[in-house]
Amino acid sequence: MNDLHEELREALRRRNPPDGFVDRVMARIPAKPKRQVWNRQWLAIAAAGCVAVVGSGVWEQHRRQVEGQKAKQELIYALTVASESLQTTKHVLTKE
Amino acid sequence: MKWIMAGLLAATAAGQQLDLSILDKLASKAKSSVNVTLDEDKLRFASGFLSEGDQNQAVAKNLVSGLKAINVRVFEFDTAGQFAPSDVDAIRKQLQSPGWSKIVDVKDGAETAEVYMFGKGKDLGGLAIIAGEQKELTVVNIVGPIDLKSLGSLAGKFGVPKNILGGAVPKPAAPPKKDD
Repeated sequence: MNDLHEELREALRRRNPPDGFVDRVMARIPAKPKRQVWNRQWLAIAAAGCVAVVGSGVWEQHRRQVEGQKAKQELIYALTVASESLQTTKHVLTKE
Repeated sequence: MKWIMAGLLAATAAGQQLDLSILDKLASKAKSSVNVTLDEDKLRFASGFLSEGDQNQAVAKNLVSGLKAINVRVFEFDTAGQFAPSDVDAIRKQLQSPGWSKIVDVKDGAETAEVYMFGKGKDLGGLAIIAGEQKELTVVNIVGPIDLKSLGSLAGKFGVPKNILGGAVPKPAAPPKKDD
C-alpha cells in the first residue's frame, strides 16, 4: 500500500517545464486576426449597399407604378373622348 | 427588303400622324384645355396597366394593341365664338394629304362633326375627328389600325363624365416636341 502511495506521489510530483516550453507553446498559438475590425467595416458597407440597391429597386417599381397608372388614365381618357366624339357624330347623323 | 418595308411603314404612319400642336394657341383663350399625347411607347406602357379581368379595359387593351399613337386636344371656352372654324383649317389642310378621306361632315346648328379615315375597310390605318360646339372644340387623331365598332362601344364605359372637362381628367401631357 505504501509502495503504491509512493509511486503516485512520484508520478504527480510538481515538475518545472523544460526550458523554452512556454515560448514554444506561444509560438504555436495562431496570431490574433488583426483584420477583424476591417472585415466588420466591409460588412457594414456591403449591408448598406444591399439596402440601397433594394431600396432603389422598390422606389423604381413604385415610380413605374405611379407613371403607369397616370398613363393608363390618359389612355382611358383619350379613348373615351374618341368614342364620345364618334357617338356624338352618330347622334347628329341620326338627327338629320 | 426589311429596311424598305420598315421605311414604308414609318412613312405611312407619319402620314397618319397629324400635327395638333398648332391648336395649342387656343389654350390661352380656353377656360380649360386638355392635351393628351400618347406615342407608341407610351401606349404600350399604358396598356400594360389595363386589366384583362375588366371587360371594358380588355376591349381597350385589344383596341390599342396595334396603334402607333393617340393624340387628343379638348378646349372648353367661357363664351361662344372664342374659336373660329379657321382655327382648325390647318388640321383640315393636313387631312387633304393622300390616304385621308372625309367620311362624315355634319352640321347641326352650332354643332359640327367631321370624321376622316386613313385607308379603307380592313386597311383602315388612322382616324381623325374634329367636333365643335359653341363653347367646345375636340380634335382626336388615332394612328394605326382601329376597330371603330370597339371604339364606339367604349363610350361612357369608364365612368369619365359626359362633360369630359368637368372633373376626373388627367393632367395635360406636355406638348409633343417639334423635332419628333
